[in-house]
Amino acid sequence: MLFSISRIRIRIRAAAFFAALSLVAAAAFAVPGADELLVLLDKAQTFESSYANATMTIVDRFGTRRTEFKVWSRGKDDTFMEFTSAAERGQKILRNAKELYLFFPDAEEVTRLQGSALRQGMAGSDISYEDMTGNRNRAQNYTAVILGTEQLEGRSVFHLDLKAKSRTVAYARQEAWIDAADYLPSLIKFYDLSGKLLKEMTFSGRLVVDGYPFNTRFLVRDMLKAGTSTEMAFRDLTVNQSLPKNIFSLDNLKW
Amino acid sequence: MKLSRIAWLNIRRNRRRSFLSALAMLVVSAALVFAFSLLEGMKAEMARNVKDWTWGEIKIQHAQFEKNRLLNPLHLNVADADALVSRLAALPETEAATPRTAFSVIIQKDERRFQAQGIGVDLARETAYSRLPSFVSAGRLPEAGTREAAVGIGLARKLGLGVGDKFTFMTMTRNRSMYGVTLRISGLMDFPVAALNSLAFVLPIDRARSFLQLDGAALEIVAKVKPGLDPADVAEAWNAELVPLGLSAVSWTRSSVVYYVVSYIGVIFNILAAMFILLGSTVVINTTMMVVFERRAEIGMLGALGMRADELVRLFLLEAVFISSLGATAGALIGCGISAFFARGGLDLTAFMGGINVEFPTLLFPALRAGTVLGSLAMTVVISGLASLLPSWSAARIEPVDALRG
Amino acid sequence: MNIRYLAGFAFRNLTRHKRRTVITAASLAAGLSLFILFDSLLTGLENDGTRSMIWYDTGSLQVQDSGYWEEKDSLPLDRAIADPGPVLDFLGSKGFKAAPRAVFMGELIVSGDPWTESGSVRVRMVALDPGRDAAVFRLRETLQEGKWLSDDPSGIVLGYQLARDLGARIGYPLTVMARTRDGAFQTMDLRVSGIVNTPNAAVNRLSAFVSLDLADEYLYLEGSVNQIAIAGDEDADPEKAAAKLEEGLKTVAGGLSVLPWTVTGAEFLAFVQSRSGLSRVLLLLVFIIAAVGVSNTMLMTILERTREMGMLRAQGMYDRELRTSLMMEAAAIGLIGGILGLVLSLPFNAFLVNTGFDLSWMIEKVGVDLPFSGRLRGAWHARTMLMSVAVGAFLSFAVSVIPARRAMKLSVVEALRHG
Repeated sequence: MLFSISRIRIRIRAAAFFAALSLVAAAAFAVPGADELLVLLDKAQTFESSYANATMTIVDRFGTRRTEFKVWSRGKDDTFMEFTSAAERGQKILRNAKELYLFFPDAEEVTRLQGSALRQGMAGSDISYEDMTGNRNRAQNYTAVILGTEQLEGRSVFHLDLKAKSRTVAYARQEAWIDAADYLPSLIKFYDLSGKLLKEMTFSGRLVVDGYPFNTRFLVRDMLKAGTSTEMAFRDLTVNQSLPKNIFSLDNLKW
Repeated sequence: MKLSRIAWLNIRRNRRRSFLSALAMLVVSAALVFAFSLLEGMKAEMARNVKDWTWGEIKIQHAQFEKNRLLNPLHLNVADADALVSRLAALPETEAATPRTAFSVIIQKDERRFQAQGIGVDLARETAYSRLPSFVSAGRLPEAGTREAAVGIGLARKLGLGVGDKFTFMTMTRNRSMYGVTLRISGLMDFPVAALNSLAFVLPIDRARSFLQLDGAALEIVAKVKPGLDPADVAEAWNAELVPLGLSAVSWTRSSVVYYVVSYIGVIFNILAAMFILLGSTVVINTTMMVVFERRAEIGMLGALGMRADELVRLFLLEAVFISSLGATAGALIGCGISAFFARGGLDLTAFMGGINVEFPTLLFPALRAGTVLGSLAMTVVISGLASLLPSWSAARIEPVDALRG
Repeated sequence: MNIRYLAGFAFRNLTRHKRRTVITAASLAAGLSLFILFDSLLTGLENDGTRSMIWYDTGSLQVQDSGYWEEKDSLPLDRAIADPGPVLDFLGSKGFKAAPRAVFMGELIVSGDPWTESGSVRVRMVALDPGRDAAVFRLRETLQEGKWLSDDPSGIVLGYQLARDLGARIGYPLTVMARTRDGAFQTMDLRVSGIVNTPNAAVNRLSAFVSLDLADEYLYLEGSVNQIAIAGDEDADPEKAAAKLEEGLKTVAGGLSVLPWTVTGAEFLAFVQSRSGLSRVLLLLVFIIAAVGVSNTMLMTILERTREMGMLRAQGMYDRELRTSLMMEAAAIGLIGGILGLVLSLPFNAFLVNTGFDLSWMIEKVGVDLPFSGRLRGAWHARTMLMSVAVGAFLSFAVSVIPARRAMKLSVVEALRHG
């Protein structure tokens, strides 16, 4: 009789253990909700601080050219860029939540861009200043629906359909393919109000830096104007290191 | 007695009438000469503005530039411009040649954005080509190698800036990226072309090249040919060498828009000139006819004395011709005098213009042309002569008795 | 001195010397008539420049949101008149012809068949209401090919030079990329339905037109527009008219400005060399010539009648009376000449104003857009017309004073001997 009670206790403990295990397992394999995925997508691209050396390759009907710059960023909104390529040497860009400032070595005043001026392509590329601010803010601007899970470049991705929450959002609709494992974007398509495909952004060069997964390359293609594209490649990435003080300030811009 | 002598005596006999008649011819002739010189002056100024500024007498550009001009194609430029300019300037048919690079900018000032155009020029060559220094109205031209610019007075006014102030602008470079520059205003320019006054500033071409990323290139070369040569022919001759280099030389007389604008204006001026002539003619005709009609009694008397009809007609013709020649010649001389006087300092039109728009060129330089002067003179005399025929002929046919009755 | 008697006397003199009266009056008429026509032509020339701007681009006046003008270079849809209805009603009630328009930046993208070259160009898109627009602008009359928006409201009409640069033909499809009023991207797939060739080179090169309904739908304008253009009287002072209208509009809606064409067209005006200074000098010369004609004629007339006047004085007429009647005659001839001149000028002036000289053969030959309409027109200039009649009469009168007086100075005997 004694050993049958202890066996029951073992069995209960075993059952409890297996129940707990299966809950954990279930949690591990649960699919996040669509809107949650957007938050995760934004988070995967946002860091307390980051630094990288970047090369931008622009192809348009006039040919190919390259610019290089260093970029620091903090959180969602702050970015500081300093160009190092010969043609743009000394130029700097500072961006925060609302405004964008440009510094040119030959200009004694800092140029502030606002409103419609933000729609211009940065350094003549297909990436507008506005785009630079919008890519880490999807959760705020869109509601999402999960269309399914697919395979892209050998990895599992969630296929989402994003609809803009308000009419002030630049792209009325986006389609995003997000990596199931680390929630980094793999492919994003941008649509206008009438449903026409305007741009396509493909991500590659997955790298893990300090435990954080990164896309080190992305390519933007303008789908209306054939043959134009902009490619960004990052290297020497560091994440969440302490950044020089006051790097995101106007004073820094003028140096 | 010779008819001409009688005619002359007649003229002297009735001084007052002759004087009035001649005076009318004088005023008409003087007014015509002056009016034509103004019209010619205007035409000459327009042609000069086109050759100096708007197009150039001959413009050399990249062959694909004009077609793509909307896209601001800095990459479609004239490479090694300085070497090419030196070669062209040394040719016997060339009067002057100079490189230019014009680029659109946006000037930002106090939250407002202004569109403007920068023109990079070779300061030394530009003096010979367009007399650039003569248009400086304050301060001076920028010096080569400096960060200075001379700004059109209209643009300076829009910006609220003066000599010594600085302005910052953004432009697109050859690589299609944006670039910002600050320049100091070294002086103000009063260009003869109103559009330049309100939109343009001039800076040394080497500075423009450096921030536009155009090594040694220019967007265009403008050239003037020696007087007497046809720019279209010269341009064709140059094209033999330029076309294989991907360039093309176009004379202003073959430029699609420019030349026809000037020709159009020319036609308008011809219409105005014709109306002037018509008006002058009415005065001449009226005066001459009146003179003859008033002397019907005299005609009758001469008829009674035995003068033949045709002699009578010839007599009055001679009188008319003498008087009008005297009057018209005097008038032409006066007209030439007035024109020459204003041709030196220019006729200031501000007195004639309603508005106070200072940026419009207000000095008009009349241009005397021997052809128009002699033409107006001849016309006055001829019309006066013709105008005398009808009344004298009809008067000569009346019976002397009726004529005497008055 | 019996004025009535003298007047009758003067009148009889006029009819007595019919030939002299006729010639004098005729020459006066010819001179003054030419003066009127000259002025008409020159005024028309001046107007030609500003007209090409007012008729095809800016209108005489524009009602805008007060924040629009300083941002105009970026063609903002958000600085708009949210509810143009009451404004349009108000304008209509005051007898103004008004056309609402939404102007925005668009990028025309062309690629593939049937285009020979792919490309894109940024243009100034003008969305208009074809019905109302025709009352203010004359774009429809400059249609060179295809159909205007009133006949095909679903298409896009291009400026001539723009069409040429792109290689566009009627029926070709293109895509317009623009932003909605709130800032979202929007593309419109449209077909080229027409091409306009206006005297306004800027319009030809940089503008494309679509219907306001179409733009409203695509760009979510919700009935807002950023301009209401108003047709105006050419002779009126535009700045005064603008100020007055702006005052009046305050009763309808707040935050609106009214800008005259001198402001909305300031940049264009900089390109039109002012010829008005030259015209006035030329007019002055014309006036001098005409004046010489008048004076000369009157002087000669009076001089020729010295004997006759001597006779009248011998018969007992007072010098003063004679002088007065002479001057009345002079004034009468001047008036007749002036009126005749005015009447004579009417048919020619009408021709100039309505038809004008057609110089468009020059344009067609070249196939290019000249910044002129190719049609040299005149303009009714009431002030000049009335002035010439007055001047004719006054000048004749003035010119007669001195010789009349001098004629009286001669003794009767000398006068009789004269001639």
